[in-house]
Amino acid sequence: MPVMKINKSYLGSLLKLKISDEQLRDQILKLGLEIESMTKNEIDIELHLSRPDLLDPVGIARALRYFMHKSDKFHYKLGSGKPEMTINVSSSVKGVRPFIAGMVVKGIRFDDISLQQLMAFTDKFCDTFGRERKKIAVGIHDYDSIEKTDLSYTLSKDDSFVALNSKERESFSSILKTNKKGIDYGESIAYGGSGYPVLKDSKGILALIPIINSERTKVTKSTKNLFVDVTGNSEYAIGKSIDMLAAMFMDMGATVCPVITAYGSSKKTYPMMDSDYISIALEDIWKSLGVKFDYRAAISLANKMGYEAASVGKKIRFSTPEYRIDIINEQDIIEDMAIAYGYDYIQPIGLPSYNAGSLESTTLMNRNLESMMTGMGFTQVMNSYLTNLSVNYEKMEVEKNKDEAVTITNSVNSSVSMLRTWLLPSLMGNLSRSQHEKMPHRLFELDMAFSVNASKKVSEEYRIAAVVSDPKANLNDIKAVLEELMYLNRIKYTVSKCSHGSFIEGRCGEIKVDGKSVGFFGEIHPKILNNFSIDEPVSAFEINLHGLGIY
Amino acid sequence: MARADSASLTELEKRAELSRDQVLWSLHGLEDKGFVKLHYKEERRIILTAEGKRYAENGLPESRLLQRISKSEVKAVSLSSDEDKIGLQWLMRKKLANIDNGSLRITDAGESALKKEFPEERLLRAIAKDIEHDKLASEYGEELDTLKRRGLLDIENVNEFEKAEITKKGIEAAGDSSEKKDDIGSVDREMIAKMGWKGRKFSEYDVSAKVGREFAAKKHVLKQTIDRIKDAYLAMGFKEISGPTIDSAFWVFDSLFVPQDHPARDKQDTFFLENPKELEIKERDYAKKIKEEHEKSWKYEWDIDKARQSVLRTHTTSVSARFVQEAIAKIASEESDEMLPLKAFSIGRIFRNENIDYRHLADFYQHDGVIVGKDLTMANLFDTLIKIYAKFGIGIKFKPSYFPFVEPATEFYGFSEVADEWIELGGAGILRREITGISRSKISVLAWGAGVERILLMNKDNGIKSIAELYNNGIGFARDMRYV
Repeated sequence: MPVMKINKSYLGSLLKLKISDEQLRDQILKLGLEIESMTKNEIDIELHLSRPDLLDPVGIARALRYFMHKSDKFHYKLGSGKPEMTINVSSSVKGVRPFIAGMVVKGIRFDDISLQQLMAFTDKFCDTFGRERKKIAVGIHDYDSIEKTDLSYTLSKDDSFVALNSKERESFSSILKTNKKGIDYGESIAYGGSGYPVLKDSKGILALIPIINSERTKVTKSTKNLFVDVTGNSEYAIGKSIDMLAAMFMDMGATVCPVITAYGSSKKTYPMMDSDYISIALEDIWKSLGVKFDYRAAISLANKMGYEAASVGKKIRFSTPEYRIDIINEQDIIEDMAIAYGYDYIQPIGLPSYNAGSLESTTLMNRNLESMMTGMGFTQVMNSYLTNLSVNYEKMEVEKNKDEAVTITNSVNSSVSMLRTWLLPSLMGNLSRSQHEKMPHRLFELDMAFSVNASKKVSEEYRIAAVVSDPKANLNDIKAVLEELMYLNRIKYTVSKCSHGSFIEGRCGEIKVDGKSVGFFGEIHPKILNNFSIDEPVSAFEINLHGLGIY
Repeated sequence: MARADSASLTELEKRAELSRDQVLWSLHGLEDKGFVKLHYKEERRIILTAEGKRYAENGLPESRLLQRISKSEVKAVSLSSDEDKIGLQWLMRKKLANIDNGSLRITDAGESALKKEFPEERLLRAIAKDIEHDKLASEYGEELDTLKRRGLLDIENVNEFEKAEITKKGIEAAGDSSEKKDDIGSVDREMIAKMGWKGRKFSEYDVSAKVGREFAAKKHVLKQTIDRIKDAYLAMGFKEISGPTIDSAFWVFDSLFVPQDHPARDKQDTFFLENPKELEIKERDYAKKIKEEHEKSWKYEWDIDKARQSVLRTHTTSVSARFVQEAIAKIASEESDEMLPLKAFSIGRIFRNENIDYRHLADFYQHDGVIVGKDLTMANLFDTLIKIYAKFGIGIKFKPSYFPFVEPATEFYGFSEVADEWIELGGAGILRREITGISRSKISVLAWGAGVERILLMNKDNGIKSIAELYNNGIGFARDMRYV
């Protein structure tokens, strides 16, 4: 989860309330946000990806004000201002990054902190909700440095411009290789060799989308008016995003003016400041929460979460805030009602049980097997299912079988590349880590191993393996255990000589049940003991439990 | 003993035909009566500290770090764990590595150190095996000092029993009391059969003398905990279910309403498989419904190829998802003869593609529960979870949260005595109707998933400090664990 550093005095100025640290913490938690840490000057808040409107201090302050019933302005509408300009979209961007929305923000006032928090917010928003700018990217420019003619959003051949925080002109291709933003985001964007998406005014390039703006339109503390663009591959998402941003700038005291996007002759004006009505029966809210309240209380709870609400017949009609991107349908609103009510106030109510509970046969059988093994003096170990070719095969001196192994494509750990196909390598690792402990060592594991068969079917099976290690450990020690285990489980088995890389030649037996091989036992070859730095002899068995017909 | 003036322990064992412990008991008793005088000699003994024990088992931090550097590039700033920092400090001090451009580089001395075992490490292991002090001191004088300064070992002077000397009073007692001479030591078969104990006295043992522990073979503490969880569910009328560890992205993500571009499906969090690369989605009709729901709600084009990708499950909620889908199909076709609510649970291994170190693991256990019924509420959900955790003596509290598959969603927390703070135990909520495929006014489904290992971190008495400890499985760890 992303963490956002919020400046406390800035948040305080936005809240316009006197509030103690304890109250602030309490209200933020009740709103469903998580506080990582809180110092004199800063709060680190862990953010929910579903609520981008809560990624910045402005949005958090807005939500807190509703939550404490300090605000009843539920909607954000544009003034009657005419569209400032038009962005002409070339059809060339279609296969690359088809959608753009713009707006002009007038009369903004920044200081160091509010500017820094705005930039941090847009970065976080583009990384999380914007999926590292693949889905959505936001550009913020100094409007007064832009030529007041129509803009154009088009694909360009490799050109050059002075990118933000640079002094020299640089080509697009070079920016992608050398500029930090170019390296971070360039690769994830498919240019398809057809060109680079750019936003231009009559003087030249404003931005290489969605990588970096121009130095010419850089926003500083003294900037008064902004031009904002949102680009992406989902028309729905860019529309919702620019509405959310517009509400934020309005809360910062600025006026938002619309901008037209022209896809040829088809025109759209952004921000749209869309709001929906969603009606929910009061009873349905009760039924989800397990608590009852009247219409007036329901409306007050809705207001607490920033909804304007009214009762219409047996239903509550909610009108959704313009800045909310996450509301899909009535279920999302019911959740908000639960948060407003307060999870702490929902009284637990018991549920009846009409059906008998039951455990799986594997659970019951495995419990028996564990009793048998501990009864014979074996201590249980539980190891990771994850391993690598070296431990699973090489160190056990058996041939690598890449077709049989369930292998992983993208592990961040060099020691993890596959799921174990058997348990003995894990147990050898346990013995290896126990060399300084008093002898004898008697361990067993009863758990899963994994493999892929010839027809690409995955098998996930329970196996049991046991090891005995002490200065006198030999074949008979382990065979006696095997014999007892089979006796207790009423299993008839036969043993035939076998040859297995992990065992001493002539001291390894294959275990067969109904003529089918189910496992093996024997004395581990000293070479394997050397591989695992084990000092004393080891004898061992391993059985595939699904071959015994016990489950 | 009257036959000689003094005797060593081994001699006494042989002569009295008693075990070492029995001899010691008897001697302490005799000393109390003033019959013998016990002589001790002072011996130096090397004892590993907890940190020293850990290094004896896992290797020194600097040797482990050196190994890592030799395999791949390591940035100095990326070293954040305590052990890594210690390792770095010693690598620099021993001049086995230096920092070049922020990355650690092995020096020539480091290269040659890589080829052999670190002498300190060899020493730690030798001490762990109980090799005598004098031998170690002559061989490893310098390293002993270094390790002592590093706080990895202590050298203690202990009094070892050397010999027992009979006193004048003792000789008298032995001489004039035929009774004493006749006292019974070990009870044996012949004496029992012939009732040879009749009319004789048993010599007294010192019952307060110390003896070593017998090591019990036992079930793993984590398995004990899993069994307790299963029994808790069983007692509340839940049916155990299970499902594949290796699963399609469809069941792990898509069926749970996680959009295909959601960060949780990122390559960084999820293990994607090379073999098998894809798994078939047999539930064609259900997949079609899921496609529609995704496209309607998330407004993107759903790709069945992405759903076919095989992954190591990141939660056991995939098991619950299958159960819910089947249960609702049965209820809808009125095939089910079970009364609502249906309750089911599963416990299984889940995976996160994360860096592994001594505190973090890439696979661990989750327990997952689901209740299918009519008009199920958050109040019912809270009640169920409170009752499950009450069986472990853990009080829980709820907080709003967000998961794509439940609305309303909650996280629940329990107070950990080990971490000395409230820690997250799991997530829960009411399943979205996009997943159940049925209106919530007809059927609602409560669902939750929670960590298993962290239950052991709640109570200090369990002696578990970190989750990774549970999978270390050294025999020492197993022997030291108590029942939970």
